[in-house]
Amino acid sequence: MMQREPDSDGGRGGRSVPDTSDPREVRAAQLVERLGRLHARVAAALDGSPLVLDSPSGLEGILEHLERDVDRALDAVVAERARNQRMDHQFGELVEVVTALAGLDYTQQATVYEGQDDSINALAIGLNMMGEELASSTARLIRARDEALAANRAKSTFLANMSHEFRTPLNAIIGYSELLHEEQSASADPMVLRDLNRINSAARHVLNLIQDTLDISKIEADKLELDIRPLELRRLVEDVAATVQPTAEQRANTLEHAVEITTEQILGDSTRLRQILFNLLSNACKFTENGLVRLSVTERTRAAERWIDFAVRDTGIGIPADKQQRIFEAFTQADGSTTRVYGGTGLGLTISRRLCKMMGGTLTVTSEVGVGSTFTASIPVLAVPQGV
Amino acid sequence: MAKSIETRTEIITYGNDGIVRCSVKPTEDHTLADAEENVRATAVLTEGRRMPLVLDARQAKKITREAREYYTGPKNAEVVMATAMIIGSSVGKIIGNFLIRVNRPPFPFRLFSDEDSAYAWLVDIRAAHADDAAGAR
Repeated sequence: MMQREPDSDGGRGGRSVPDTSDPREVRAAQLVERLGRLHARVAAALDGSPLVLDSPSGLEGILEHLERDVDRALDAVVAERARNQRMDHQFGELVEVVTALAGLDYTQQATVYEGQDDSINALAIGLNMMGEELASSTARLIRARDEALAANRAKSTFLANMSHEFRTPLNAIIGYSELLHEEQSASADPMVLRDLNRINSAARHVLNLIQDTLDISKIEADKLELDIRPLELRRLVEDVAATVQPTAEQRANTLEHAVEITTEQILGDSTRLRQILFNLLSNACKFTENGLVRLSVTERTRAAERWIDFAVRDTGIGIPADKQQRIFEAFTQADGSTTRVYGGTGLGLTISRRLCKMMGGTLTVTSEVGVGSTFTASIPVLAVPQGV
Repeated sequence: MAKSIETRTEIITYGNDGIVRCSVKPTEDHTLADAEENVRATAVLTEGRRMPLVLDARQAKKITREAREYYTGPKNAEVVMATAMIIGSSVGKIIGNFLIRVNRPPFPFRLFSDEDSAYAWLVDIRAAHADDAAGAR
């Protein structure tokens, strides 16, 4: 029989006060104390009480109860551990699915585990459904984009084909009308020569309309590229002025130009710059009669950057304030009757402004009805590199 | 006497109170074909009339995107006046929220956690559509 000295607390086991603040050691000491009390209870039962070993209240019964409790506790611990491991695994899967979704990969699916935590399963199901929705939306967007691209390509092809189909006969009309005019100029009825001029003018107008339509189409499709090369600015201005001179004279206008710059040669697209200036000058001549049209080319510095301003001033009919921005919209002129009276395609200013923007510059207008207008194209100067 | 049809994924009952009850079985999947079958069965029970519907989804596990779209589409709207969906877990809540917010059914659709509230809401909805429910008798 085991000898044991009684404790001061009535058989409940000695107290061990751990001389430490480590929680693990404190916990271990408490467990030892509990085991000690359990041992003391068993010992007290053996020492004092008449035990019947096979009865439910006997020691064996106590041990069976203890074994069942330990088995249940162990089962619970094992099940909890397995559940936690599944939960960790499931969380890992969810992180992978979230990462895949962020990377636009909608094929990964999270697994739903029977008997697992309801919230985690709900999250897995939600992520899977979200992936399906995103995949479906993305597929629809891709289809819509492809259809839009195909329509745009078809439009470009159509325009290119129609341009050729229109230009060929129009060039023939222009050519033959000029030929006839030349042949008939000495002897023909003035009315015939006038009609030939009208035929020529109308054909050229349609040709310009086709070219402008193609240009605006290319600009909108981001397909128009600038051809940047060294250009002689003064010569370019003089060429354009000479081209516009007959137009100015048709309406008894005086055309002037002045170039006040120190940079004679710059980098730029001479064709497109010529197009802008020609458009501004011919507009000015068109909307002015018995007046003055003046092109001033000046240089300035703004925030350490050099700019060239091409200002076209006229003493024409002017533009109402509420129309001054609308005139830059495609196929829009200041007034519905403008086309009838003054002609034009309604695309010139739209194209000119977009070309200025492509060059990094701006196209602005100031105007007063009955006084005149000033259109200013401002572009940054690209200096010609040394050795070019 | 209530009439009932059992499909692969649901038990559908049309009661004398004029309310359709669909109990979702805990199947591993719930596809477009199942949705079409369930809507057809509902139309048969109600003889094509639009009726309020209680959807007991407390055992629902999964539903495909195509099935969700069908349940919240025009075909189902021909036989369903309103849907009260009973949910009992986060899984049901996720599915219910997707049905309401992503699929946006063209008829009233609300989530409930108990049958009494679900039925009370449907009774109010039906009262507001008294003409549609007149044929229930």
